Formats: sequence, C-alpha cells, structure tokens
Amino acid sequence: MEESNSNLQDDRGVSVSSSNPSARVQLPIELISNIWRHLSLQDRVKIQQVSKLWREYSCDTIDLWKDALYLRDDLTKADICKDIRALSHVGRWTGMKFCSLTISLQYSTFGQIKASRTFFNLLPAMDVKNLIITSKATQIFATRGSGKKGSLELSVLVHHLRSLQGPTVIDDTFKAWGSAMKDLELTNKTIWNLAYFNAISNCSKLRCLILQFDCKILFHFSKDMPISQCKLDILSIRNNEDDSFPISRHEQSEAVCDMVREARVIDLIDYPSLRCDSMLQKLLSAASKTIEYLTISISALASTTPSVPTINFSYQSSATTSVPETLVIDLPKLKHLWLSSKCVEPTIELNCPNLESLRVSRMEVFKYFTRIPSIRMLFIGRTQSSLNDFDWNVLSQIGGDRLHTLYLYSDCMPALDFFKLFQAEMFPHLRKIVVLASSEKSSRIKIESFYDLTPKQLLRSRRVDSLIWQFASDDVFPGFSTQDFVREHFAEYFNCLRSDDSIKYSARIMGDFVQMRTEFDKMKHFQEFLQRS
Amino acid sequence: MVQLSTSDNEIFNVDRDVAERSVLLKTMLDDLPEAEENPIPLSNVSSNVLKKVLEYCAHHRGDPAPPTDESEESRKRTTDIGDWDSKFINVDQEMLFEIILAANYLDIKPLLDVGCKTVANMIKGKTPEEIRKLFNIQNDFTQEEEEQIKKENEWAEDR
Repeated sequence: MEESNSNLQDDRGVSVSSSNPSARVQLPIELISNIWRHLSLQDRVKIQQVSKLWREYSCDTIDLWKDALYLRDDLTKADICKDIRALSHVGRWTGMKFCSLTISLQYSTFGQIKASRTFFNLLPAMDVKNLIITSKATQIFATRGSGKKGSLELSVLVHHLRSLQGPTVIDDTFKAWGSAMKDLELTNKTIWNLAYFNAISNCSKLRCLILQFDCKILFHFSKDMPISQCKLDILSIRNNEDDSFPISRHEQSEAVCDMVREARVIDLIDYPSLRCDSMLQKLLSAASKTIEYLTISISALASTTPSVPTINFSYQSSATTSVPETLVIDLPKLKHLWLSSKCVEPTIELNCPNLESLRVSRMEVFKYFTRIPSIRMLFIGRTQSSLNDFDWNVLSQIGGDRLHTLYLYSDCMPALDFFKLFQAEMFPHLRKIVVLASSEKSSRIKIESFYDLTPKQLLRSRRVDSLIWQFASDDVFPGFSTQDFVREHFAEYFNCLRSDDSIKYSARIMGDFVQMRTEFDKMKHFQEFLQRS
Repeated sequence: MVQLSTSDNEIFNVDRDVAERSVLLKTMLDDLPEAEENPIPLSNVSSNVLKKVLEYCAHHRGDPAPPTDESEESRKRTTDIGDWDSKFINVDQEMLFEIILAANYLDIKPLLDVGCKTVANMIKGKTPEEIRKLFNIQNDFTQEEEEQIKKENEWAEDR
C-alpha cells in the first residue's frame, strides 16, 4: 500500500503525519475536491479554512463554484441578497466575473426590497457585459397604492459565470448596502426609479443591454455617466408604460446615441412610445454604419409632437419648425428590419440596399423607404387590411425580384386579396409560403373559402416547395377542427403545424422575426444572429 | 472468468461482468484478448480492499451503465446514498479512503461517488479543526491568517 500511496499522490498531495495511525491513508487533492462537490456552499466555503493547500486548490477549481447558486437546500426560497453576496465573494477569490446577468424583478415581500437594493448597488461593480432585467409584473409600479405594502420579490439567475482575466473587486459596495436600507420605501416611485436608474447608468462595460421595462431610462442617460462609455452591441428595450416619454431632455439623449454608435442589433419593437421625431432620427443615424438588425415601432404622428426641439442637427435648420423635414438614413449593413408604424407621413426615409428580410405591420410602411428594397423574405403583419393599388404596386416590385418566402396572416385581409396574393403570378421566385393564424376568435381563418378549392386550383400558377399552415391552438371550429380539415384536404401540399409549441415552431416558421417569450430568449437569438453574420 | 492479482499477490477469480464494472478492467479485457487467460495485476489494490470492491461490483453487476457525459443533472449535489450502498460503505475511515482510492484507480464511478458522498457527509457541520483531524492535515495557517479567512467567510454562515 505504501507503493500505491506514492503513486497516487502528486506534489499537491496531503501531508502525511505518522502520529495518527487511524488515518494513515491519504487522498490526493484531486480526489478530495471530488468530495467537495457533494458539499453545500456553506461547507465549501468552510473548507478554505482547513489548510493552505485546500484554500488554494478550492479557489482554483472554478467548477466547484459555478453552480454555487444552485446549492441552496430550499430553492424556492431564493434570497437575492445572499446570492449576490455569495457570488461576489466567489467572484473575488476565483477571479470569475459575471458575464451575463438576468434579473427578474417581482413585487412580493419587504425582505426582497432590500435585495433589489443590494443588486442595484452591486451591479455597477460587477463588470457585467450582458445585462437583462425583466419584471414579471406588467408594470413595475403596479402595486403602488394597492395596499400590498412593499411587495417586491427579486430572484436572480446567473446563467454564465465565466472566467475572465483578473479578479473582481466588489468590497466597498457592501458598505453602502447597510446604510441604504433605511431610506428605501417602495411607496415612493422616484426612489425606486432612482436606484434602478443609478445602477444601470453606472455600468460601464455593457455590450448587451436588454430591459423589459425602462422608466424612460434610455433618454435620460447623459454623457457624464459611466454608461455612456459603453459600446453596445445589442440594445433591446421594452416599455410597458403607455405614456410616451417626455422630449424635454434632448441635450442628454445624445449619450444614448454614442452608446449605439457601434451597435449591430437595436430592438425597440416593444417600445411603442417612440415618436417619429428627431430622437429616433438621431438614434438611427448614430447606429447607421453598423446596424444589421433593427426593430422599431413608431406609434405617434410626428406632426402631433407638441414641440419639436431646437437642436443643431446637420440636416436641419436650427429654427423651430412645426413640420419636421424628412431625413434620409442610409443603413448599408441592415439585413433584418421589423418596422411597425401607424404614421402615414414618415419623417425619415430608410435606404437599405442589403436588406434580406423585412417584416411590416402594414404595406403602408413601405412609405418609409427611399426605394423599395430587394428582399428574400417578406412578413406582412396582421394589421394589414385590404390591399390597395399602392400595396399591389409595391408587392409586384418586390416579388419580381427575388422574393423567396412570404409570411401571411390568414385572417387579416379580405379573402379576395388573400387568394389573389396566393395565386399572384407576380412572384416568380417564391418557393415558400407560411400562413399564420391569429389567435383572436373573432377573426378566424377563412377556411370556408377553401371548400371550393382544390390545392391545385389554389396553387394554380405557382410552384411552391414549402407551404406551412400554422394554427393557433384554440383554432377549432364547431364540428370540425381547422387543422383536421386542412390536413385531410391539403396534407399532400401543406405542412400543418400546431402552435401548441409555439415558440419552437415560431422560431422555425418566422425565421428571423421570432416573437420571443423571454428577454433571455431574445439575447440568445440576437447573439446567435451576430455569430452567424 | 477473469483473474485479478492484488498488490499482496492474492488471486481473485471473478465473473467477467463483475470485473467489467471497472472501466479500467473493461478496457483491458476488450483491448487485450489474452488478458482473460493471465491474471491481471492490480499493484495498487490490496486484497482486503479488492474484496470489498468486488462485493460492490457483484451487487451492482446488473446495473445499467452510468451515463458517460457529465450532464448538469448528474452533477447536481446530492448526498443521498442507497440502502445497500450505505450499509456496504459503513466501514472504518481507513477502509473508506482505500475504497475511494481503488474506485478511482479502477475507474468505478458509482463507487467513487458513494465513497465521496460518505466523506462529504462526514465533513458536514464539522469545524475546520475537526475536518483537519478527519483528513490528518496539519494547520499551516498562522493564527492571524486563520482569523482573517474566518472573517472573510462569515457571510456564508447564515445560509
């Protein structure tokens, strides 16, 4: 056995003491670390006090700490305070940094309010690159005044702890934590806003910022804040508040323009309060050189903007004018665009020579283009009603070129237009049609119309390789289900998909315009997109 | 039948499927057909330990092969040990460590896990000094160093 000991022990082996014969057998440190893996976080921390070798080896074994958050005995009692503290300590001695952080904010208990404060205090020091903040509450301040005093629950998920060079220093933030507790009152929206805002605006190394609610944060960043140092790759903001943001602080909004100067993805489709004003113009102009993926939703008419700011902008005269001029923005790298607008008189025009796929809310949105882009994929949104001459004209221009894939909602436009589109000979290169069904019960797919058509009639003049019909899960007619019907009659020609597993299918069906369930899905989607391109 | 020769030159005759619980032996038997005729020398394992190990292998001879990939699920912390296994592993500490060493050498992952979990259970709730005793480790921290680390790690205590 002596021999085996010397074989198995390397120079990191545990020192042997002959004074204790009952423990003559020694385990090499590699095997001891195997034992540590079965310990709770608390015990794993304790083993650092055993000896220098144990301390050193445990700090170096990054695997030992990666799942530190999942070591709680009771996972249902997530305590972000302790989690964040644990992680920051672990980060300090292993040199690991938080690369991606996903935080879900929820109102629940007072005990969790302080947790949020901890998080907000620690955030700037953590050198997070990818930050996602979500809220399960539809509005973060929804519980204000509802009697549920200070109910906020924060749960944290750290998806990646990645080893980067150099240790993280987080010490001082804890000191602030203790004193910050007292003044925290959820009833005061401003304080909450402030903590949230301060935390984010003090981050200086973000590459990816994804927020599910923003408190108009985007337009309050100023140049003297650390966040203005960020060069964002990905910016995605969802704004749950209905009221449009104030346009009063335009001098500061330029900070956000600096941040997106190298951005490749900007996702503001769920930011419906974007006005077609100079702010949007500036944002797009700033990112115009690099942007590849853009989603915007322009809801308000530019002309209803109460005051157009008087800023010096190259194309614009400095004098106040009630009708903003149209600005042409070149987006040479833009590949994917999702454009939603109710604005019929756009004040910007986009020039996208390399666009690949386009999703529009309505055909009218094509007025935003200096010229009709040549695209391979077109997605027409569900708000499209009947097609007018302008629309048909646009479609014929697009279709004649290289349009390969067409996405349609079956229930948005009148049946006549729908089938005209289906059968139109203006799309010689079209190979794939995807029909989506809205889930609204009032607007079922026009399945009755198919009774009189055979698939051959339907696809009379056209060769389509792939025809996919997606159903809303509740899309069942009295007496028979749409799906059964279509499967029976068109199975040979249609790929019929249920949308029960809508995310998976949507991802496949909707290509690059996935409607993503969570902000984390978004980040994955965007990062995959950037890796592909 | 496979013959195994221990460090103290004892020969064990075991069924092949029992021996193949050890990934090391399985690889040897698969790669070297002649290994079945000559005793396989296990110079790292003594006869009393091998006897224990083979007892485990014989009891688990019918078990499905453990998953080879270290999936997240299998890495999850658990110190639960099955009834038979916990009776089996109820040995003195020296034998326990010997079994761990042998399981590691012979590459019998389930047995290694049982051993490590057992030791982990022994560590649970013990003070650093008690752990040192358990592993026969000398405290090489100065008193200041020890205080310092203890203070640094206080945050974990109330978890």
